[in-house]
Order: sequence, then structure tokens, then C-alpha cells
Amino acid sequence: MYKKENDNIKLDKEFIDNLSLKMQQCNDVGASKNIKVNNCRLIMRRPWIKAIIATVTMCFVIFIVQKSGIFNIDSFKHNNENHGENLAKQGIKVEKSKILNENEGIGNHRIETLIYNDNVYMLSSNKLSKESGEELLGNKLGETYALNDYVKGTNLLDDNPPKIFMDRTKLSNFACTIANKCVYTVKGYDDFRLITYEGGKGKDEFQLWECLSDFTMYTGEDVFGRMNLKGNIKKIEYNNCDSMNNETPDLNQLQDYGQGEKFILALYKSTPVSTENAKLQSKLFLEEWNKFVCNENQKSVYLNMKDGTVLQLKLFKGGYVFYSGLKGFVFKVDENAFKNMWNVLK
Amino acid sequence: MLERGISMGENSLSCKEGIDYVLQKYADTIYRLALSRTKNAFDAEDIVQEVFLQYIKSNKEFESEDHIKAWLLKVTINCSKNLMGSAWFRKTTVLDKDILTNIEDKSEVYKYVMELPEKYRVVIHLFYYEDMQTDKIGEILNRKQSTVRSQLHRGRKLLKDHMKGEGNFEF
Repeated sequence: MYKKENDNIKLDKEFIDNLSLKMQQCNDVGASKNIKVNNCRLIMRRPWIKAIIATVTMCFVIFIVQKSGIFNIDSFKHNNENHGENLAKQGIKVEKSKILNENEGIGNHRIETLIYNDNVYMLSSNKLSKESGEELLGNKLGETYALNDYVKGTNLLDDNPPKIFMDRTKLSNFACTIANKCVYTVKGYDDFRLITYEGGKGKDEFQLWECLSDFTMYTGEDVFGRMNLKGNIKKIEYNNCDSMNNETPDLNQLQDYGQGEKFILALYKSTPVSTENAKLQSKLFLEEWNKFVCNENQKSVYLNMKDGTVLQLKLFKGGYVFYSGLKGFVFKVDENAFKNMWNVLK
Repeated sequence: MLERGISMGENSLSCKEGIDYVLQKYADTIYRLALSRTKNAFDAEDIVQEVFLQYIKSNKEFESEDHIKAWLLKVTINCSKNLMGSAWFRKTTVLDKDILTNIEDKSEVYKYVMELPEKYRVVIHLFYYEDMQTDKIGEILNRKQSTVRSQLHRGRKLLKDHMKGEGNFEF
């Protein structure tokens, strides 16, 4: 029975044809890159070419050393540890969430979105209880109406912010993939968060939405400060790699609360870093095609706030913290503070 | 078409026929596994796409067609873990392609399997539908063989409990 039902499950021919086309395009790009690489390799085998390159490189290095006097241990070590990171002394701009015109050929992926004040809010992973939801309801702003088509987006598996495609003629305040929800501000938070409520017919559902975009961040406080983490955490939970793959992960409670508080302070002082840097990516992700797969170099931490919201952070061994509400960036935490926290998450 | 010492290089997949062959042979298998994991057709389709694009990008040498299949299944599991681990997007809208909303015409066994917790569901699927041995399942899911066996046992027990009084079920 189970086998028979599965035998009837097949992909659409149109999907297969599209996928075949994409694979061919991918293969063509890869083949042309290989040709260029192979040609380059042939040239590099010639000894006189190697000699010229070595000489030029040596001259350039001597010039740089003389010019800038960078050859001291501390600055060398510091630069190496950066792995090309963009240290945010000038701040890192988080671009405004863009809505692109509907485009055929992209993944038909549904992304829950809510439009308000020309911003694209996305459904947060926070689950709110009835009691918490009621406490958080601020001023009513309006009521959602349904977008007629699904909001289409790029691959969910990407760690970069999703590109959102929708019919722009349908865009106005409170356009939403879920209709008939009342939209409110969230007490205690600025407008990066909204809350929706749907009641009646046996429903009593509160949902949190977030839009972290169109601002410049200099430290972690520019993001996590908006979430009022300091002094408002009720408890900290965490889980390990094995349990993360379960349907309901087994959560452990952090006993050393003081350590948790120190970590939050360090998080506020952390440096935001763009994950576009290839070296940083290779440091964070074990394999390029398997980003964020659970492994022993990651832990998840859940900050249960007094107001009922829960913030999930992912810690990467090496001192980086990721928040899924702000894709495309991680936060580099002070080494000691991070290590101390990592060591108590057992 | 795919010979021993199967490579991802030019000789095997530079032509459309090679790509179409692989898709024809494995796409539905990958889709069914992804669907059993995510219970959502959109997500399953995304995973299928991701898996085959990774396949084309990799330069892996495969020893046999079984090796290809095992590799594809493992990547499918990893991609679906990745997706499910990212709790950013919540599925609150009921859509046509949400599998559980269109399950009325499926058999009772199928419905109950899809309602099992994910860790049992995928083991049941790989064991009964893909006819894989528990050691191979363990390799793909990165679990011990003993864990796979006990999950298989518990999955069957849960199904039996669900289907009490409905006679023996068969896969």
C-alpha cells in the first residue's frame, strides 16, 4: 500500500524539463571555467613564467613593506585572523529588502511575507503563546488582505537573504500571504517587529513578523539591542547537534546563568561581518554544498525572554553567531567570551 | 550510458541525454524521499533541484549506479535537514500542494506513515520503499545501525498502535 502510493508520486514533466535546462546551464558554465583553468595551468608550467612571477611578487612585497611598515607581529597576526572580514568600523549597511518583479523560472517557493510601509516583513520563527501575544499587542495598524499569488522566492536553502518576487501591482500596506489577520505594533519594540492576530472560529493565533533591513550596524547592539536582550532573559536553553535533527529537539537549560549574561554583553559588543566573504564561508561551513548542516561545530541557543518571545541563535565554533532573521551576516564575538559560553553548552 | 568509473566530468554529463538519463532514473526517488521528510511538495521540489545541481557541480567519481543513488539520497537528507533546521519560514498557509491536505485519497497506511515523527518516517520509507538495508540507511542518515533498527521497530509499533483493529497492515 505504502509502496503503491509512493509509486504514484511523480514530479511534473515541466519541472523535470526546467531542471534539466538548469543542469545543462550549470554544466556549461563549469566546463568553460575548466577550460580557462586548464589553459592557465599549462601556461604556469613554463619555468621562465614562474621566474618572472616570483620576481615581480618579491618586488611588490618589498615595496609594500617599505611603504607601510606593516611588518610587525601584532598587526600581521591581526590581519590573518580577520580572514578578510569587513571590520565594521565604518558600519555595515543592511540593504532595504527588495521586491523584484515577478520572474518566471525561479523556484515556486512560498515565503510568508507581510508588506507594511514599503517594507517586507517575514514570519519569525518565534512561537507566541496566547498570554504572551496578548501582552505584546500594541496599537492596531490594520488588517491583512491576501496576495492572489504565492510570493515566490529563491532557494530557501541559501543562507543569503531570499530574493522576493511578487506582482508589484498587488503591493500595498497589509498585503500578506495570509489574509484576515489584524496587524499591531509590538509593545516594547520598534517597528522592526509587528504582530498579527487571528481570532474566532476556534482560532487564537498570534504571530510575530520581523523586518531587519535598511539600516547600518556597527556592533551587535544595533541588532540585538532592538530585541531588548539585556536584563530581560528568563532562561537560556540550548541543544546539541544530535538532537537538532529530531522532530522536537531536546533542549537543555543553561545552569550557569551568569555566563549567559556575560555572553549577551559580548554579543552586544560583537562585530557584524558579511558572510559574502569566501574565506569566512569556508571557515563557517564544512562543505560548500552543505551549509548550516548540523555538525559538532555548531550549537543552537534559545533565549527565552520574559515577554514570551524566543530568540534562536546559532553559534559557530570560532566565535561567530548567526541570527536567521538577518541572513547574510554573522557576528564575531570576543574570543574569550565566546569560548567560555561554548564550553558550558554541553 | 553510465559506465564503471562513472565521473561527473565531460564524458558522462556534457550532453543533454546524460542529464535526462539521471533525472529520469533518480528524480522521482529523490522527490519521494524529500516529500517524506518535509511533507510539503514545494519544499520537496526545492530539495530535488538543490540535490541535482550539487550533483552536476561535484566532480565525484562514482563506482556504480548504487553509489550514485546512495550519494543522492545522502545529499537529499542533508538538504532537508538544512531546510528543516532553518526555522525561519513557517508553513502556516494551507496550500494545494501541502501533502497532508490532499491525503484523503491515499491509503490508511500511507496516511499513518506520513503522520509518524520524522525520524521514524524516513527510516520506514528507506527500508520499505527503497528496499535499503539498515546499515546503508545508517550511512545515509549518519546514524548507527542499531539506532536505525530501533527506530524501525518503534515506527512499526507506532503504526500498529494507530491501526489497532484495522487488521494487519502491509507496506
